[in-house]
Amino acid sequence: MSFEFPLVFFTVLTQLACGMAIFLCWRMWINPDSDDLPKRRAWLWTGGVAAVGLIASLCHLGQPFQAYMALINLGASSLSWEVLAFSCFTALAFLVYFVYSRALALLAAIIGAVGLFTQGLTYAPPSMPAINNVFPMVVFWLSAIALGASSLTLIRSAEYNLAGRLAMCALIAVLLIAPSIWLSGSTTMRETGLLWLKSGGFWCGAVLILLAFVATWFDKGGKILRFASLFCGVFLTRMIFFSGTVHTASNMGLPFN
Amino acid sequence: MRYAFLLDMGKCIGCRGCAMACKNFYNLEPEMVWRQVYPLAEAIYPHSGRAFLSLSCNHCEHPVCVTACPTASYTQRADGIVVHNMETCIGCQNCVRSCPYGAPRYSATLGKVQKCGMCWERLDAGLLPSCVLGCVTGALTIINLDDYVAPGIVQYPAGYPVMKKISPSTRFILPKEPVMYGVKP
Amino acid sequence: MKLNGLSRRGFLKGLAATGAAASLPALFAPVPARGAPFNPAAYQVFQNACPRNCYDTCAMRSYVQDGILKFVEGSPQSTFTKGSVCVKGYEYPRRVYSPDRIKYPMLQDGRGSGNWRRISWDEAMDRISDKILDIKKRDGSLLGLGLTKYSGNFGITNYSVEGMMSSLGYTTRFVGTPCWPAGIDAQNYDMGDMWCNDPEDIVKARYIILFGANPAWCSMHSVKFLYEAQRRGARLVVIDPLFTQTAAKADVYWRPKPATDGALALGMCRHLLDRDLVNEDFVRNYSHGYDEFENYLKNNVTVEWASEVTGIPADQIRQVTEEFAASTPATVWIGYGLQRHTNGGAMVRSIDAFVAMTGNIGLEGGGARYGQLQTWGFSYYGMVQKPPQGSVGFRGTGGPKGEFDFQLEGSSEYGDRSVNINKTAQEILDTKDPEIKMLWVACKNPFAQDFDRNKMEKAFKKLEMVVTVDQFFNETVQNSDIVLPVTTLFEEWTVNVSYWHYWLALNEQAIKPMHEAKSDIEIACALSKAMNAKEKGSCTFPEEADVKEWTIKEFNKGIYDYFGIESWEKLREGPVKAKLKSTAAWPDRKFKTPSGKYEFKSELCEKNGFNALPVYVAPIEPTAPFRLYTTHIQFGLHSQFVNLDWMRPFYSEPFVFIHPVAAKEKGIADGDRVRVFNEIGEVELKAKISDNVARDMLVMYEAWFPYLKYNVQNVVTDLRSDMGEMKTGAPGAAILDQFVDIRKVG
Repeated sequence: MSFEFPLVFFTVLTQLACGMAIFLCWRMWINPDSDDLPKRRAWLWTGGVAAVGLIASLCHLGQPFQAYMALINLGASSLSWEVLAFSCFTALAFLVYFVYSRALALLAAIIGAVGLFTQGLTYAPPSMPAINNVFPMVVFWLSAIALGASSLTLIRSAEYNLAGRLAMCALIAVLLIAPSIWLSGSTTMRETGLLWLKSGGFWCGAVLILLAFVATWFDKGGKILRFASLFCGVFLTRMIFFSGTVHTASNMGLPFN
Repeated sequence: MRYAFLLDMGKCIGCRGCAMACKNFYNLEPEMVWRQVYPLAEAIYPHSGRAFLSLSCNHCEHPVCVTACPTASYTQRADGIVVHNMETCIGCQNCVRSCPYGAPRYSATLGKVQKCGMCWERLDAGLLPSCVLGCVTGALTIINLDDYVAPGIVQYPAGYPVMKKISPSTRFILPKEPVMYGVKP
Repeated sequence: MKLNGLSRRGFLKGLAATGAAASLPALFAPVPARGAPFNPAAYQVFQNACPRNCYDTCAMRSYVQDGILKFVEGSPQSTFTKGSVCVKGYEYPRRVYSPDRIKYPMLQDGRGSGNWRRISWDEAMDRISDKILDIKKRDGSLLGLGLTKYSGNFGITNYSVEGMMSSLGYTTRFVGTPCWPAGIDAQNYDMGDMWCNDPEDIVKARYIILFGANPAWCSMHSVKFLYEAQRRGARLVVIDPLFTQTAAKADVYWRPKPATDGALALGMCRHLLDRDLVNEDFVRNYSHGYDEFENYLKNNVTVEWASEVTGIPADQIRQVTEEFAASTPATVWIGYGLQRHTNGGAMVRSIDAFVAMTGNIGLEGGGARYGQLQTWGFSYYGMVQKPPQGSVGFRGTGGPKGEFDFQLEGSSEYGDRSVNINKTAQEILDTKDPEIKMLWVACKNPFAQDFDRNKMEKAFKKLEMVVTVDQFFNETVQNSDIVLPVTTLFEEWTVNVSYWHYWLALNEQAIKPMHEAKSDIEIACALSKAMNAKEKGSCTFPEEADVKEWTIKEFNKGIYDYFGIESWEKLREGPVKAKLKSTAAWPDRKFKTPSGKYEFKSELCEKNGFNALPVYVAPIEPTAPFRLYTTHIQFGLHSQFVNLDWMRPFYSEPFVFIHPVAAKEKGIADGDRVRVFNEIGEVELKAKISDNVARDMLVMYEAWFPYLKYNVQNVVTDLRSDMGEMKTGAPGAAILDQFVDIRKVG
């Protein structure tokens, strides 16, 4: 079982960064004069997180020094768009820190959203029947919103916003419901469902997200712990997403119904 | 002209001669296999390890690898053969993830992906692909999908995922079983 | 794939439409795949032939570039090989360049210790010749030097090894063959020789019965002819206690109780009688002793009895018999596994009788196929060497030294001493006056292929020096003192034929020998030089030899006439098939028996201690709950090929196959680690559950895995089969009459 750590780090970190950008941008536009506006340094963090994610993705490549070539197939490959979108996003995030314009922030957020969208497409291949649908898209978006909202509380002490809470709740629901649905699907789907539900990492991750969700009602201290719980939860469930999703090629010769 | 592999599972003896002929011609690394021979599960063919799917690349009508590859390292020829360009491959393995049939294979030593190209270099020279030439029983052949008509040919035998949108080009003839006497179950 | 009504392609197209893609610099444009077609002219192509112990003996071509073997192919000119070798043959490039290959002579300081060190050829020959001379001094003869050699390399020039032994003096030879001797004798009793039809004529058969033969794994190139016969309407019946790969391709599969095939054949003979289906022309005009046989059948055999003994339903026996008799030509292929029983020879005689009674012997597409040595009429130039002056040896009548011993015994008062190759360990332990002190091993792997491994270990301890000529550190090499690296087929000249098909193939040297490897001939020359330097005249083998010249010397008028060629040079263009007047064996039905006819009643057979008629001989009683078959698998040829790393993705570990009902009784689940054991040893491995085997049988395929402790010979005894001594010098081995029990480990 290959855990695909580069992809786990890449997706989790870029989703965190996009979430941060979306909320930072939203704050810049909705309430630009509020005195608890997040500092522009937050954009440096956003860019930094995204950059680390991108570097992690390089570790996945056989030829990391030729990663720039991944931009070639914009005509057909969603992965090409993903690479383009997140490269631009990272650059933009750093740029917003230096220039600090609302327009640039909006652009960064939009590009980040495009990135999330391409991720949802790329990691839903037809070879993995369980996730060859909107599941990855939904999970990635919910993760981005939840992580983004949670990260905001690290920057300033405000109550949790509704979007973040909803996203966390929905994320747990989706993560728990999907494997159960897979159990009544095709052979490969069933195997995927069983692997997920038997995985200790998956349950730990789900519990950590749940804890983070519950903790949003408790204001006193431990905000780093709350964020860490959510982050680790997303990270662990992402690990099973990449390692425990069964590929049709591993079932050749076996019944597929 | 659309090249496709035809596997007569009734003739295939699962010897892996096709797979080894390929390794021999391309001098593949010891653990690298471009053509896999999968035994059919007993639920499909009731004698374990006695019927097989020999699969390399299906050179699909709508190949997933072509769209999945960010460096456009896959191209589909007019004759249907899907070719992988090792020079532009960056080893991202998106094709490995995306191909339902497991055709592309990642080589950790080369840091790139490799796959069956239907021996296009041999076909262009008027020779048969190595695996077809290497098939001792004549079970594996290549046909022209545009004009090949025969009874009993199937596109999706049991034990092989149905992917209608991708439409793999490989075709199959199903295996048979003998009448048995003297066997106590 | 659609999301919110927008397909992925649609989305991407939309983005492209915004010009986002178009604005990228040309640096990021897709690079089209380019490449030149394959150019065979860029290679040097050589003719080769696979020298392994295999029915198919493939004619091959090797493609060489810059002195490096790039890849191999089957020869397209041979209608038998038809362009493809097999999964093993395609491993050859890896075999030549395997990182495990022995590079130079090596000495083991302490046999079995693993402390190998490199020595020069000179030092190796020095030590060996010293030992040989030492033995000669102590015993007054070289009977203390033994040679064990068999089928690891069937290249004709390799018989120089026997010649090397002869050139030293009179030595001890391990004679006989573990492979097919009982059947050879049986066919000799019945017809006067072992001679099968051209296997390519099987397409003409209207009915085919495979008795204990598994061509899908052991003669893969024959399978296409079986398919063609089926395509033309022939019926294929496979009879085998195991549901083999070949059985899966049959129209009808019979699973008889093991070693009861004789009863089956006799039951079928009886039914021919009952239904008046006997071919009167054949039995009246071309056979001897038919009336006695008919009498035997009437008094001792019924179809019901055969059904009772074998487990095959009586009406099936009747049906197949009638179908066989109604189809002309009809043929039976008798496998070598069938006769690896204590009653093996007797069973083959019964099956031959059935084919004879239906008049199918001598018909194209018919016959009782077993093997042939018609194509082996070479000069054996290297094999014929004179012993040195004054050599002393064994006094007494000698028999043939194996089935390939085509030379007549010389008229000397002395000869080589023969011991039974099928009881190698026992013979090393028991032989006295003098004892066997030194062993030369070539083209053989006793630890892998001889029986009772624990006994073999004990036997080897008695030997003062063991020299093995080989390419890999297999178990025999691990138990040797000196190993000498030998060439592969691509690194030497030789010529090859098959014991099944009728093709002749030249084996050209394609590349220079790897590292310090030498061919068997060159090794003999080196030994001769070392011997004569110490004691002039102690070895008559030439000290120099041109292996290519020696190969050419193998060709003689007989070979040229038989294959219809004027010169061996013709073979440089490709393999050549014998100019057969008929594809049938015995086309004129002039048999080589004492009576000149097919002998249902063989006085010679009776003289040798068996029944004159092909009567029923019961199998031996089991001595343990499970009968063990240690048959071949298609991934290896005995201890060759499975050891190479190219095979690992396809076959990386052995299993013992057990029936689900038996497994349940023993509490064994699929994949459990188990111990297979009997009174002589045990094997530990994983179990696989399969109903391809009967409830009271287990199967473990023999092979050598260099990194695993696995050897089936741990549980295989040296039990003898009935026949074999007449034509091969020693009785055969009842390899499939072995019994074991099984237990889960841990």
